[in-house]
Amino acid sequence: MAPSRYHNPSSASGIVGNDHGFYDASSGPGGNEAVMAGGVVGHTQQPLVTGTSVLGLVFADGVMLAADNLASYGSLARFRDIQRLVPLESSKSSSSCLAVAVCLGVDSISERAQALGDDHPSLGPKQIYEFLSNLMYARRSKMDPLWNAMLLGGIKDGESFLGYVDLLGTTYQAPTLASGFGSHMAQPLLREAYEKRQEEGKSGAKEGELMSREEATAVLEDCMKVLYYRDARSLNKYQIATITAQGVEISASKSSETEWKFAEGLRGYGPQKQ
Amino acid sequence: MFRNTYDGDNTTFSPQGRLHQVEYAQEAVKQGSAAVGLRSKTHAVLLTLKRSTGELASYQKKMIKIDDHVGVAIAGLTSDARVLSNFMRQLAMQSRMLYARPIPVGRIVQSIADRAQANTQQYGKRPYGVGFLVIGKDETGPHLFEFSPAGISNEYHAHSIGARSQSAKTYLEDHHAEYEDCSLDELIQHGLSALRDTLQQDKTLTLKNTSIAIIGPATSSIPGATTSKKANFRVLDDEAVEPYLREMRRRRGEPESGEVKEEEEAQADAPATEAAGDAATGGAAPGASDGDGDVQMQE
Repeated sequence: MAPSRYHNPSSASGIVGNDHGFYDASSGPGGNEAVMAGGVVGHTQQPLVTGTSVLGLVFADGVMLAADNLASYGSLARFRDIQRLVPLESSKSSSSCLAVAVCLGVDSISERAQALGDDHPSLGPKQIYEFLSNLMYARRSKMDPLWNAMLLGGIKDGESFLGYVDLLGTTYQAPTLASGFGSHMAQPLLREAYEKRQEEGKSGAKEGELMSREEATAVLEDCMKVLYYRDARSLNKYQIATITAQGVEISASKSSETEWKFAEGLRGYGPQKQ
Repeated sequence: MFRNTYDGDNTTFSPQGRLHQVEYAQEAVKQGSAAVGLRSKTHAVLLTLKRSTGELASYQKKMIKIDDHVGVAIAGLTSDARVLSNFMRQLAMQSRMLYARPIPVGRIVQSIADRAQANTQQYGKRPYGVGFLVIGKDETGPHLFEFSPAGISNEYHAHSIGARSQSAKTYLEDHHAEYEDCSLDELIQHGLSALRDTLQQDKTLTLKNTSIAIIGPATSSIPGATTSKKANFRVLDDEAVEPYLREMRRRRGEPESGEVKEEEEAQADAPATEAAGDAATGGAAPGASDGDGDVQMQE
């Protein structure tokens, strides 16, 4: 992930260093910010490099996640080729994928989850989710949160899983999820599509009560386009992860067709004179 | 009883490339009373021979429950076993807290093996003087593992540790093809037969000196046997063991009520007293059982 002044690499290595995967401020060669600031405990942090919304949607064969490729430095579109979808593991019985909103310490989180996928029975999405929520809550309780919001999508034994965790350790699960700006802009669209499809399934207009792969992709692409129009921290270059019983498949980066002619007629802000 | 000059600490190799302290630790396991474990597709069982230090003492517990789905049988230093099983309980709870799942059996055994291995390599430490048979179940089914103080853990279909365990191993090897498809009753009977082979000539399995631990749902056709729908780890002691011992005697064509009871009644008769008293207690009175190499400190 992109470098950040407030999180040096050594603090990231602290995450995998100890037994339980929880951050230990005393470990790591470089010490943390508090030590470097001469023993003054530095509580508040602000992420410098940020990503914007991530979306998640349960469909007939599993779960889809979407995130764009941008890591912003404030309002500057600094890193334009960042993959924010992290495949965690795929075994015979389960596969999981993580979508991260803000880029901090995620490499070590996914490393940690990977390390648990040895020849013992691997962690299913629910277990990884439990681990993530414990990790995030433990860090916020130390007043040193991992500044992030994540969606975890997975499937195990044919059962889809989609859950949200953020820097406060807040957790919830739903068949459609979105973080950040997306929870305002995209979540209503996702819900509308999801519920409409449920009705169609119940009335027999369509088979099944969940979207097909094509339908789900179309809905997510539509949401990413709306977000690109409305969210100033977004990029018209995004990826979709499809998590099915066959494994995790992350698409190549793609763009939406956009139309900006209407912008000419906008009045009230920007460079134009009334 | 120093054997040579290379056994003073566990970090020094002998010229033959051996670590004597580690081998002595394994010897401590061999001195402990026997434990037998078997596994089928659906169940895993442990059977142990308990010892008491004398007629006035109770029998030393040989089974330790770790979590709902894992339990161990011990052979060797009981106090070391308590330290290790405490550690295993911590790991089991940690897994439930952190990942919301019961810990996989292989992982918990690997963890104590790693811990034991560290003790064989660091100056000033000593190896654990205890061996475990661990049974448990996880999403991949029932399992049986052996843990030894050398820091080795292996998975088995059937295995035995402790005093005279080679005799049990011989029985287990002779019948190795049968366990996979055994019912719980059959598995326990195989276990009892193997355990019986570890006994000294004049001893028998009694409800006092035998304990059985089970993983997997219990459906038994033996009259009086406890049944349970839950597949959790549980230990049968005393009266709960009797139906299985009865069944064993019936199959061997011995009196079902068991010689022990008759002998207990016969204790008034002068000639029978010595032998019968020994048999009834499993007889590990100090000095009486030097043939077995019993040491009081052990269990």
